[in-house]
Formats: sequence, C-alpha cells, structure tokens
Amino acid sequence: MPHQLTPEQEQHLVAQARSDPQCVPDLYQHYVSSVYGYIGARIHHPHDVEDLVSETFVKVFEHLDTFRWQGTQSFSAWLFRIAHNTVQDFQRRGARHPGAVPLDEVVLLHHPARCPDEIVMQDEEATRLHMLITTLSPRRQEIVRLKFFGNLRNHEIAMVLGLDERTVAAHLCRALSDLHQKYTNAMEDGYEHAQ
Amino acid sequence: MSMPNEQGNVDDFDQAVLDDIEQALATPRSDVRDADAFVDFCATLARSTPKPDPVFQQRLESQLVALREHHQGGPVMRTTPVKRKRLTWRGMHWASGSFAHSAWRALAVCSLALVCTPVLLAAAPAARAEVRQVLERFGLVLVDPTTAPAAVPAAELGGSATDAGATPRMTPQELVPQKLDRAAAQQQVPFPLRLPTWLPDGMQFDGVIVGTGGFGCSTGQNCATARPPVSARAQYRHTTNNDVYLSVEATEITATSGGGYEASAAAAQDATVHGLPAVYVQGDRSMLSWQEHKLTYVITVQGVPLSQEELVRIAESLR
Repeated sequence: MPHQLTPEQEQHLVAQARSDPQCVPDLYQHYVSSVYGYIGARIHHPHDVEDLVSETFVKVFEHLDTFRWQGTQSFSAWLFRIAHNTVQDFQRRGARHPGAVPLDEVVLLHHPARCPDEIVMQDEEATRLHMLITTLSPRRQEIVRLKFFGNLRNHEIAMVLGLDERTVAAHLCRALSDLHQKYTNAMEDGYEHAQ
Repeated sequence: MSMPNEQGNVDDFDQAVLDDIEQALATPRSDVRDADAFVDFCATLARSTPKPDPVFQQRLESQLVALREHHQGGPVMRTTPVKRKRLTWRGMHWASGSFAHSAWRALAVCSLALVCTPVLLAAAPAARAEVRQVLERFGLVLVDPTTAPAAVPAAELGGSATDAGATPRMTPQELVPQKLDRAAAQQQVPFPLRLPTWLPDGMQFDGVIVGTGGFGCSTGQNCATARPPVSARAQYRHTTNNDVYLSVEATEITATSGGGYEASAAAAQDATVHGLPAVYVQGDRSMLSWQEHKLTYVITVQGVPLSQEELVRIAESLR
C-alpha cells in the first residue's frame, strides 16, 4: 500500500500531471493500487474490476483540468468519490454483481505465480475477512473498504461519503470491533471443528 | 466494551481503537504478529487488499498518458530534454540535495556509464534471450516463483509506458472498453472472429471487447513503426452462478507481440489443440493458450474447475 502524500506532494503531482502528460504516471502510480484495492474489494470478477478501475481513471484524467482544490487532500477524496460512483453505477446498471462478495473468490488470483500453498492460505484468510465485511451495514462496509483498501484518512472518507469526520471515526470503531469479534469467533469455531 | 454511538461521539476508548487502526495500517506486515490481537487483526485485514495485475497497470498507464496528450492536442513537443522522474520521494530528496548539483556527481555518473555500458551491452542480449525463451509461450508468461521479480520486469510485460512513440493515440471513448455483439466486434477486427460452439452447461455469451496491444500482451518492441496487435475477448457468464466466468481471447501475432498473462511455470502442462502445441495452466484461474491462424488464443476459466480435456474441447469448437 503506498504511503499517504502530504497536501504539498499531492498538489505538486496534480499540477505536474495537468501540465505535462509525461508526468501522468507519477500521479497514477501513486493511486492505482489503492483504487484497485477498493474496487477489487467490492466487485467480484477481475475483468469487471479492471474495467471499473480504467473507467475511474479515465474520468479523473479527462476532468483533471476542471478539478478545484477544496481543502487538504481533496484530490484523494475526489478520486475516490468518482470510484465510488462508478462502482455504484455499475451495480445499478447490471445488478449482476451485488455488493456481497462471493465466498470462494474474493481476492482473485491476479498473481498466479505465487506458490499454491501461499495462494490457498492467503486467499482463504482474505475470503473470510471480506465475507465478514459484508455482514456490516452498507455504510460501514464502505467506510472499512475506503479505510483499509483505499488507504484513505478519516476526513477523506468523510468527504467521499458526505459525512462528518467524527461520524466516520465512530462507524469505523464500531465496524472494526464487530469484525474483530466475529473473526475471533469464527477462528475459535474453526479450531473447535478441527478438534 | 464501550462502543461509539452513531452520532459520532468518540470517547477515549474509541480514540484508542482508532490509534490501533492507524498503527496497523502503518505496519500491515507480518511483523506485528506479536502485537495486540486487535492491531494484528487490522493488519491482517489491510494485507488482504486485492492487488492489480502489473500488465493491466502498465497498459492503463499508457492509455492515460495518451488521453492527456489527446486533451492537450497531441504529444507534447519539447525544446529541451525531458527530465523523467519516477514517483520516489526518496529519490527526489536525494536529487534535491547538494550532491545533485555537484559537478562531481556528473563526472562520477559519466565515468561509471563509460565503464559499465560495454559490459552490459555484451551481457544483456544473451541473458535476455534466455529469459524470454523460458518465460513466454503462446500469450502466457510462465514464471518460476523463485525468480519472478527479477525475471519479469514491468517494461518487459507492458512496454515503455511513457514512450510517446509506443502509445497509440486513442480517443476517450476508446479508452473505456465496450462490450459488442459478434457482428459489431467482427467489423472492428482484421481477422475472422471465432467463438466456441461448445461450452459447459449454463454458460452464455456476454459480449466481445475489442482492443489494441493485447489484453494480456503488450509490448514496447518496435511499436513506433509497427501496428500494435488487435485483440478480441469474448466473455461468457453462467446463467445462475455469478462466480463462473469464461473468456476466449484472440490476439494478432505481429512484430510487436510479446508478453502475456502471468502464470506459474509449475502449474503449466503441455497440451495440443488441433494437433498444435498448447499450454494448459491449472489453478483457480485455468488457462489454455495456443497459436493458430496467426493468432494467439487464450481461454480463461474461473469459478469452476475445468479439466484440460474440457478446455481443449472448447478450443477445438471455435468456429
């Protein structure tokens, strides 16, 4: 996961990408993993994820000149707002892939070069975790995904979702505590079954 | 355990939870295993983030550069050499330090380049040929997990993302893939579009996406002078099970063909399609690839285990 930029670094990258297409990769590369992580945690099929990530970035870079700063880190919030809306539109259009993540295939194997044991262990754990997220309310699911997979700060999540920052913090606390409890219970159940 | 309420009141306990979350996100690695169980859980959650395929990542980058150039009326003309800078803040700090402005630095770099260049030029072709021969087969890049990071550099897989000569000019509409029916797709590709006449039960046609540069394949070789390969990917989904997905992708074999879908060399098996050599990769995402009629075909199936025989049957049913 890339480190978070300071407002100055972010503004610098955006300004460069606006004026020189050859600087686009600098801005893009900083955010592509986070946007992919966020969309990949919501959408099932990797081709759909790639299409939506492409659609998001095309919208962002098409409208980069119209973007106006509205406070610190507002580019991240703007970018993820577009990603959020793009996914929402996709789900409304098709209604084929509801927000729920399928049991057996959450973190799709985009890296088949990993050894089979590693794949099985990591993906089983990821599957379990992503399944647990779907047990939360839609708002909390979104906050958790933006926080953990989109790598956003709480005030950026608040901007994306149109909430107060303290409300985001409160939901995040509650959601993570719930998730941890369920995860612990699931692990204990699994251990007992193994006995 | 006290809990924050929905109105956003965050007490000391909640603040401690938030601090734990930030700590876990700052270090989402396995070295927090001995930390507090909650921090450990948060770090585990952060590590489960889906990761993009490097080929896709490179291809999109090229398209976005092209998009911005399109917006600005074509590739940027320069009167001075481009100072290409990657996003490494450590590098930027180094470059902005006093050493960066030193004449000694320039002298040292030039001397090093003079010494190293002949050695590298002599050694590179043989090593490169050996790696490519091992790795690339019919639109797949077969990777030995122990050598994967060094053996498959991004430029090898995706070409030079910022090379203006290698970036085809595309309109914004072209950048977002559109699903076409067979007839419309056929009008956009310079080869006969062949689709399977046999598929596992329940699979139905979902559309064809046409693109250039290959979906799994893209390249930085000779792109300035040669037309990039055209690809058509036919997609199929299961009528009742959303988890099942199948695609048949055909990509032209041209002078610029190269790279492909990354797959584990250990999971690859030899196969034949119409008597032609093919590669079958078994896994959660099974693939069959071969070359026929000057096209590289890759069939991908996920969500359902298909045997080599079933994939070959699909391949041999293309009409």
